[in-house]
Amino acid sequence: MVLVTFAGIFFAKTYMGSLPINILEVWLLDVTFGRNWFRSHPLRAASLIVIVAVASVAAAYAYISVRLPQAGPQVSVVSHPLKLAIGLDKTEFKPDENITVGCSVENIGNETITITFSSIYGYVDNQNNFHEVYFDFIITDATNTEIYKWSYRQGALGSTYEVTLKPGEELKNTFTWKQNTNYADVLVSTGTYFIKGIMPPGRSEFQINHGPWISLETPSMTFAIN
Amino acid sequence: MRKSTILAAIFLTLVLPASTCMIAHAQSEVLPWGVERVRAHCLWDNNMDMTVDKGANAGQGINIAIIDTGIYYWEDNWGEKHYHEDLADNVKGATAFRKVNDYAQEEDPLPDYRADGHGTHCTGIIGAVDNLIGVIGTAPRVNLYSLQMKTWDYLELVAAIDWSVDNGMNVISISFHWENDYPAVREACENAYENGLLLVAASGNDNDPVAYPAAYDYVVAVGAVYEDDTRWERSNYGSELEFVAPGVDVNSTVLNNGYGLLTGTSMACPHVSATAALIWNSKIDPWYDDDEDDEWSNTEVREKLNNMTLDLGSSGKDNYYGWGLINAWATNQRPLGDINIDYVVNILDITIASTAFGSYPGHPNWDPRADINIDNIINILDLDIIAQNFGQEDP
Repeated sequence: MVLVTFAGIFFAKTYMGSLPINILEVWLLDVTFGRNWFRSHPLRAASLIVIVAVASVAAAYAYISVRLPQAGPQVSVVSHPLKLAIGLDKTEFKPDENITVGCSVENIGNETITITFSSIYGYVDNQNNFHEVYFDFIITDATNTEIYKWSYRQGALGSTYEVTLKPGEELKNTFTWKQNTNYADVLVSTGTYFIKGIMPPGRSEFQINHGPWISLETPSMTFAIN
Repeated sequence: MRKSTILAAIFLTLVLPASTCMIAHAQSEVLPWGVERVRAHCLWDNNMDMTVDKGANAGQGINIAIIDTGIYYWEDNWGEKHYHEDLADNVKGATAFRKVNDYAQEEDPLPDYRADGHGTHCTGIIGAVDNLIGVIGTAPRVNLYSLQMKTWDYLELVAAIDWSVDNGMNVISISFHWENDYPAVREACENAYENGLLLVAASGNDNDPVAYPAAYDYVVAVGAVYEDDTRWERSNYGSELEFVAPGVDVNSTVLNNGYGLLTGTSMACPHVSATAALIWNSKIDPWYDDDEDDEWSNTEVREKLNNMTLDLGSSGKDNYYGWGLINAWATNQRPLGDINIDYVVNILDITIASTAFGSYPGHPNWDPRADINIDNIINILDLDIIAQNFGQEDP
């Protein structure tokens, strides 16, 4: 969608010459030339409205997609100076629907900290960009049986690495759970499930400013597949 | 102009600057502490001039597959790949694997995609070239094959192991670890081992039981130690642990033709992989040639690795150090006690050891060649090894 936005702007700049492309410019035109501009340039005005609308929707979508799901439920745990949170975009899902899981950890203290991870988790996406993974999440069913764990199939590199977090800074990962089980990509049945976030993934641990090795876990959060 | 003046001028303008340059380069190449600790350099640099001695065993002709994040390279305008300048001479192949649905497909490798150059680092520990720059690897003339994992799914490991079997690898070095036992991985490891490959894997960094695939019988599990031989506190442990090797603040190749320090069992594993390659490249030792085929097999190499360690922790094999610290020097002496590599244990070896007797690293008389059991002191134990083998010749 971001690409669509840029494409729209590029199109406007390239093919529509002096056509104004943002609200401020529209307002200035309105003040400067009066409403006659829109009457005298109906085609350009219509195009302008369409481009601005598409760009606004795309920008909003892009903004939402890179943030943790805020509209839905979120749980967190605080272990000073870190706040670990996990969130979903809603609490009820249809079978087969992709579920977006967001995890973040924020430095809520007043000082810059160094986090050392004992192992490295990550992956290269289809665009060949590498992503570090700092978190894990576990989904259990109503009988408290583990259904899915992100790190279940994932390898870890056996070397340490460090991340520096200034006050207020955070690390984030967004996962997509396809309602599959750990093994064989079998879809889960309908029902109530629980999800909790863990930092870091798998059996690895981390240390803050070279202190003791620890891991963090959020409380569980309920959601349903109906 | 007099002839001598002309010669002097030539010397001053050509020869002297060139030789000065050589010295400067030699001084700029570093012997990483891990290579020095397992004494691999004593084997291929017996005269200690930071280059591989003529005819020395530096792993030539042995193929090592490194399953990791790839090797750093850059492409020129014609699409030609240029690997890290300290690895390029030894890199013989590279490929990559990506999980798609329920299988892993082979695809073009990327340059090492980790910011810290993890794959490049492990590769350098094994086979950084003795080219008067940067660092020297444990087996500086070995053939390197980079097998890049894209999503780190276990199916990619299976595909990479199968590729190694199909493409004539001798050793597979795996600095990845997984939490779970996957039947497909176990079968792939078993198949590779039965096809004669030696698999070496990091034990894991969780301070927990040995992770997979290192925990399989078909795989050599390697833990990490500090420079003073104490266990790195994150190194996984258990009865499956076979060796420990240097793993803390290890210097090796990274991105952009650079060098850097990394820590973990990932760094320990390549020391053992390379040491195995050095044994594999040596003439078969009849003592270990169980099948009497005059060639090394993976089980024979493994047995020799087991018999020549520096015992650490509890006496014998234990859960935190396995058989102990890998000893690349003693495993490759022909015969044991031949510390000047003239293939006979004689008065010359005794002279070297006697001259250095009582010394330790940093001591003015220190000679690492004489520290056969690599316990960092040249004492009666080393002399005893020479004495017991006195008069023996290379079988």
